[in-house]
Amino acid sequence: MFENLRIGTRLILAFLVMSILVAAVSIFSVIELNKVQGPLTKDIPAGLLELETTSHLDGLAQKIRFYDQVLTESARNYAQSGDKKWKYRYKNVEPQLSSAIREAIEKGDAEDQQIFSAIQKAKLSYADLEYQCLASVDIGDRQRALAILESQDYWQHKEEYKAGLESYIERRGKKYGDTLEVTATKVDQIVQDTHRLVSESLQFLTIFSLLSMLLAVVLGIFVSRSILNPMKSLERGVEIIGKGNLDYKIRVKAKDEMGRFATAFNDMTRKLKESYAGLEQKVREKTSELANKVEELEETKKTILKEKVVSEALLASIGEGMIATDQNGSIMVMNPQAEAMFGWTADEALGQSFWDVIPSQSEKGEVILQDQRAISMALATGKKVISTAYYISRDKRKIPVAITVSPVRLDDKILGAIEIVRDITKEKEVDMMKTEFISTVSHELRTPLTVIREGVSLVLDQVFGQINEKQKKFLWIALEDIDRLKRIIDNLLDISKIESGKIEIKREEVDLVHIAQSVLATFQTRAHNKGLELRVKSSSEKIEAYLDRDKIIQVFTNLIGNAMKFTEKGHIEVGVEEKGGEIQCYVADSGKGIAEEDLAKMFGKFQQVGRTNGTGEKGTGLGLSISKGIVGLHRGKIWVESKLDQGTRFVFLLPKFTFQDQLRDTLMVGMKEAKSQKSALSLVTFEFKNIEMLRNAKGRQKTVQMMTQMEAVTRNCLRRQLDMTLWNRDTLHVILPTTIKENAFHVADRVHKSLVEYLSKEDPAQQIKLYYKIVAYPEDGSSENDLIQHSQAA
Amino acid sequence: MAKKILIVDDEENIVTMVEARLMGNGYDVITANDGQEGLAKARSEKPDLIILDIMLPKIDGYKVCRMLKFDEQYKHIPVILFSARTQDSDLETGKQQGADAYITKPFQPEALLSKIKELLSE
Repeated sequence: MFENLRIGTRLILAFLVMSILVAAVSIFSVIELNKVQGPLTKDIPAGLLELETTSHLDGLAQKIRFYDQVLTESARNYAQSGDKKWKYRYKNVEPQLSSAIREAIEKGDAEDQQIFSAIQKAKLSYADLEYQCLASVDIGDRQRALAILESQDYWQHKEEYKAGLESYIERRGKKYGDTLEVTATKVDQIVQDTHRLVSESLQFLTIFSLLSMLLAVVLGIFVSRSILNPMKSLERGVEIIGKGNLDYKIRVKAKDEMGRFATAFNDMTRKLKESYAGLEQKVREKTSELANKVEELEETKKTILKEKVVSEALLASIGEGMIATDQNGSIMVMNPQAEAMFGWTADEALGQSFWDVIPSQSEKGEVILQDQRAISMALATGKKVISTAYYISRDKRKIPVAITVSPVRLDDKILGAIEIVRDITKEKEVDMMKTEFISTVSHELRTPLTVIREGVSLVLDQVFGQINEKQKKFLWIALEDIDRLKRIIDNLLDISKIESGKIEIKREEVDLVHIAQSVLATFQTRAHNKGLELRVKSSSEKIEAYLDRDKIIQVFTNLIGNAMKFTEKGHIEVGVEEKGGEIQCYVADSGKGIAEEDLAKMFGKFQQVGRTNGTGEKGTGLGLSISKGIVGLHRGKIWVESKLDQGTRFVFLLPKFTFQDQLRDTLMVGMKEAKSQKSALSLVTFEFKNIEMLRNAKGRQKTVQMMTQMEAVTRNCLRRQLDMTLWNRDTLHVILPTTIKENAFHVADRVHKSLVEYLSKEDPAQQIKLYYKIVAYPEDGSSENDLIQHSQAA
Repeated sequence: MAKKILIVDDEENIVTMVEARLMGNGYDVITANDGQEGLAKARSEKPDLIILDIMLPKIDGYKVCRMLKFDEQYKHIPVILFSARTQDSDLETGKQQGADAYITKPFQPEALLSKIKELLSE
């Protein structure tokens, strides 16, 4: 029943009981002590006081008697002897007697007071007489003195005094004995009573305390047992269950916390048992599933093996070399073509660094460094790289190759790269052959042509003697067509160069209005002879653009020449207009115009539409085609507007490309890369001070040639395809993508040295001073314009 | 005294034509058909001007030109490079070898003659 109470309640109860016991003990102690208080504080002191008083009174009474005797004696002796010492003695004692009597009156009880008052009265009276006696002695009247002492008055008072004392003593005698006895007995009694009281109390308290302690201990034992026993059961039970016996049930009878804990624990054990059973079942199921999966895997393995074999066959069958590397550039795969190309077996190359196995050189034979190689760039930027290079095979042959590198990505990580290599030796040869062919052919054609022309010319110029008119005429006709043939060959050469992309535009700052004017001027005479008006129209006096001067002159020449051919009267107008970001040029004539069906064919090869006889050279049919090619190279557009008999207008548009535009354009690409890759870009600007002097001395053309040469020299110093050069008037810009400012200084230094070397040959007088300045992203600016501005700030 | 011009070209016909033209204009002409011969004749005959084809057997025109121009004894002789090669790079190379002029084939007789006159009068 005790056990059904909650543990907390039990503990509280136990402590409560113990507290009560302790309190009870204390209370009883206090009560008992209180009992002693009475006697101790009242009875005994009272008794003692009485004793004290009585004895004190006694003492006083003694004093009173004694002093009285002393007084009587002193007075008598004085009266008899007249010795002063007896007077002094009397005077000494008398006050003492008075005070004693006063004290007695004070201290005594009512009866005592009565007695002592009578005594006092008596004393006063006889004392008075004694004083009279003394006085008499003083005056020498000893007789009188003695007489006083003998007087009846005196002896009466003395008797009264004595009587008083005796009555006291009498009373005392009884009382003294009584009181003393009673008091002493009383006190004795009280003391005994107190003793008894104390020992009784002591006994009681001792027993009570012992009982209480016993009770407390018993209670304690009970309570702790009631708590600990269930705990022990639990502990035992948990241990057994813990060892694995999930069927064991902990038994705790109580319904308190322990009981509930036991119940809960049993529940848990049961659930555990159930889940174990469940788990076992699951494990069995899973194991069989696993077995199935393993079977499937075996199947998959076989499939993969098949695919592997297929892909290996594929790899072996593609015509180009393929090398795959991991993210560090170590070779993982190398196909047979690559093996054959470079002379390494896949086994030898596997695991090696790509750049160690296959070195690369520039055209001139300089080693290309690892971080400038295509695979490095692809790995670094995660972008495809298409390029050409010269790879060195195992037997040290230099093989020209076209390479395409694709990085391999998984989510955001770059796992490696795959490089496809194509041996372009043949292509390069073919290319070379093409170039050679063109030059050779034109050379081969020109040589006999020279002979023919000169032969005819010599005769026509009558170097070998006079010729008649008819001979002249026919020879002249022959000469004309010989010249035409020459022009056709020239044009063919131009066209083939344009079409094979072998032509390079050499841009410089030109004034288009000036060019239009000067070309038109060359036709002045012919126009005059034909009676044609020539005029130039422009939207402003000077329109500058960054173009290939000679080629644009060629276009104007061609268009104006055509206009001349097909215009008999009227005018030829050349216009140059700035329209937004473009420059529009036109050559308009008031000639015969072009039929609608012929308009589309105008720019085709060997198109000769409506040829006229007459002035001007015979056409080659290639002029417009070449003009179209040139305009195309400048990224412009050319077209014709014409109606039969209403004149013709040839128009070409050129993007207004200033040098600044080109610089900005070129920078922009590099900056974009730098920003997205979070790398850098450096712009080195070389300034050729005093180059105007050279221009004045040696002419524009020579200066242009020099600048072109210096650009070439600069290019030689740059080892990467990425790096770009641009020049204009008196500055040469070098754009170094992904290069930080620090490294740019090294490059600039190198270039500077080479340029100075070149200049020392061309300009021994050292008039031209070469300076350079470097600006970089991100330190010096965050946009192309920033960088350009910065580089121009002196 | 008539000026002496050396023509060096491996094409016989060209030589014939140019010779005729020059002689018709009062010049004395000596000829050579390859670079080696041209060099030898230039040194031995010391002409007043040399017309030099580029595509020559044995030693090509560029080399001949350079050798003469870097030789103290002969660098004073004006050299006209004479070629069917019309590329800018050819002209450039010619300049580098020290040539005084470059005439392309086929040529305008007047142009050639006036250039010769110009160079001889310097």
